[in-house]
Amino acid sequence: MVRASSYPVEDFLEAITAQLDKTQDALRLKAINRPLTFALKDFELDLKVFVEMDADGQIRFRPSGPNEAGASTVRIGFTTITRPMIEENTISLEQTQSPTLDEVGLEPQEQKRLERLGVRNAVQLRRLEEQAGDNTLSRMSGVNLAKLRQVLQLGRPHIDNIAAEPIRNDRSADNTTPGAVGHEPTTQPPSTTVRDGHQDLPGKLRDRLQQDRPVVRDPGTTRTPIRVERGTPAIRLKGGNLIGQGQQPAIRLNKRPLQIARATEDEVQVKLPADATSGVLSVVLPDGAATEFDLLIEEPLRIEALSQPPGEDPWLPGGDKLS
Amino acid sequence: MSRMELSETLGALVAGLDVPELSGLLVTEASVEAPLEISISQQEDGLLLMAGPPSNVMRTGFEAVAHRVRLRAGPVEDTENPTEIPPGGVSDGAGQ
Repeated sequence: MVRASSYPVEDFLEAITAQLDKTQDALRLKAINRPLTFALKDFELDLKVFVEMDADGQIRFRPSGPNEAGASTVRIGFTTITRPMIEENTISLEQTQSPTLDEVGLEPQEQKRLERLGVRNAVQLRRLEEQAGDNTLSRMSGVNLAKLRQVLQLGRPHIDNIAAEPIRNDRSADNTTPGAVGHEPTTQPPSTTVRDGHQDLPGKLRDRLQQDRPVVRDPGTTRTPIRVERGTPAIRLKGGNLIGQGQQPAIRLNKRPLQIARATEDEVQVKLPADATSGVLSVVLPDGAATEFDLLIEEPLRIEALSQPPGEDPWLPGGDKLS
Repeated sequence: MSRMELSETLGALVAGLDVPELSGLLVTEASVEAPLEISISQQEDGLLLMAGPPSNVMRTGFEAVAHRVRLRAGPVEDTENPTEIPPGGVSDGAGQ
């Protein structure tokens, strides 16, 4: 090797893997026209390098240059593995979606110390804390206990807002958007009468009023109300760490389990049955924390009276109609 | 120093295992061990490895270090058209 600079081990391994993938792809292409072709089964590389550690504690390889004595020989072996083996030996996709240690506010040095314990994101940090306790985790990682608790709190599952899935039908298909933000989502009603290619003003006005409506909690209850229109197919819970450790939240309406259509770290989509009635929507998050909402299923609003057919405006002088 | 990427060099090594058609020979597995001069360059999307055989058998103080690679290759199994290996008609590993 001629370059005197050093490279992180991960970058080095990624570069070799990329090259091996390219080789396999080329061999696969060759198989199209050849009756028999070969594939790489094992690959080993003896590299003469100087192993270094930088100021951040990261191991780096510096390739041995010409006439340099004393280089180490690092033997790296690659072999082909099957898809089940990949799944067994890699972390789940859910875990990769979790906030990184940087995103939860840890300093680079603290991140590095936790990475040495196998912790690379908030879900893994929470899992280790559940097994070992925050005191032990703090002592082992050297991260201040107060800071660790603060970070763990940030990494807990939480719901920021709930929105109703738009109703899909002929009338509303062109005029539906998710409900308003906050814990009192609203659904956009089906589009009102469209005349001459323009949406009528009452519909726009109502939409604006609903979006600006503040979140108001009923004084008689501690639960936050969620208003949805009858026929709403689903509601979306938005937040963070909602499927921590591969577990989904348990959601019930009037003690009846609701089916989860789709779940990611930051959003869970829950199907609402057609016969759903207003009641208590309970959400148990993966860490066991339970939250309840008042789900209010309301009849669709109809504002037709304000719509005037063109040419029948009573405010026109003399009541004349437009010609 | 080689101007070929490591993948191209490895592909060429494996391609050397092909026996002439209609020769009646079939390579079922081959191992190759070879010295390679490897150079690394930093690209926008990561490191790029260039590799090739040493240009000279003689090693001097100014020539790049030769590293060593070992690879094992075998035929790809085609489940739809399985290869019929004739009894006793298997060649030794090529390219050793």
